[in-house]
Amino acid sequence: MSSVSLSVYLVLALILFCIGLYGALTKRNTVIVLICIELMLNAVNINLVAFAKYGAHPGITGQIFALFTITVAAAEAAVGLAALMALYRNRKTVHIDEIDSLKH
Amino acid sequence: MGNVYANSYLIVFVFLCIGVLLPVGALTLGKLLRPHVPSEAKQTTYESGNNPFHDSRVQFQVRYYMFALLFVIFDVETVFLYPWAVAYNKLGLFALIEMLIFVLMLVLGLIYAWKKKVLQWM
Amino acid sequence: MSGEYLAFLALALVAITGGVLMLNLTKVVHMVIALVFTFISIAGLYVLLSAEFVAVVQVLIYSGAVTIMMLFGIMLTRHQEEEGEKTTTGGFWRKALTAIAVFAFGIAVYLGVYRLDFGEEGARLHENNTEQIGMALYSHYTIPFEIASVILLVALVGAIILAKKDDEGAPKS
Repeated sequence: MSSVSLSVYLVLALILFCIGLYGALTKRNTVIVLICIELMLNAVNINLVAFAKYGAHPGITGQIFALFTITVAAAEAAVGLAALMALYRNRKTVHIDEIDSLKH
Repeated sequence: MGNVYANSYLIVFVFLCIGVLLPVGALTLGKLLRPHVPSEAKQTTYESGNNPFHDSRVQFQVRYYMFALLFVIFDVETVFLYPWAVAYNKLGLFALIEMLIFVLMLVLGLIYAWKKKVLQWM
Repeated sequence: MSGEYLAFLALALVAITGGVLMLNLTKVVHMVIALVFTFISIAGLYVLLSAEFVAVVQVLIYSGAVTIMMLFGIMLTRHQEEEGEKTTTGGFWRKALTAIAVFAFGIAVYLGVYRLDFGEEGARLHENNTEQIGMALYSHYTIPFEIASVILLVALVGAIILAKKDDEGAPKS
């Protein structure tokens, strides 16, 4: 029985997820919002890998899921930044509170 | 957890410590030893003799992003190649076909990028 | 095993420090650099969790590729930044409400997980980790693997279409 148990990893992942969530909701630069979302996905990956080791059915599956999550996150970051660049070309801003033409 | 596994990472930790301590120690030592006489001309940005006339952080061209994008996509592809290569001897022909389909998809992407002249600099 | 506990504490400290620094720094580039520390220490946590291959992938993709791409995104979209420009949206009350909501979410999840323990441990995960992943990935998870290739293809084509548009009209440098 090792001293580092499952719940410690889950709490750490929870803290990182909350930091990412708060950043994504309050930051003004869209690039930072994107990278906060990456941080949230990383917290989820910690959960997956922790359950792969300490879960009810330990096995390699959790690590494979983490690999797929990383793949999808990289694709999401690529498309998100490309969309941001198209937006910057049209609006000349990356500040998320100035992109509000649907409000007016 | 196997003790061999945990102990094998001790050496990684030792190398990490050396890697952090070496530049920090060298820079601190250099700071203690060198003379410190700042003047106006010394503190300007070094641009091979030209006078700097605006901020060094200019806006980059979108082409740089294209290369970063291609790098990321093919980096992710490489990640899937490693476990395939390690387990290849136990997997057999089916895995080879899987990997061929996978690579074919990304080659399609590369051809698309080529046709769109993303790979050209000018 | 107290060495594992010490390593966990150090890595968790670096990870959370990186996240908090990201929230508090004022320059965008510094925020991204702070998050690199978080990503690298998460890779260390994966090593503790017997997931060597995922740790390497974390360093390769997050600390390498995604960070570089984010930095390029910042450089490409930089315009005249005024000094002391604010980095967050909304006023004080909106931020406080968001913080309270996020905190309440954290407390709710914490109450659910803080004594979760299945009492089992995957003791053999670290032996030939990459080979185990290869065996499982290419015999049980064929369809997700091929779909991942389709996702990468779609992301590549979509990102090129979205980002490339201006090259014809733009002045050559």
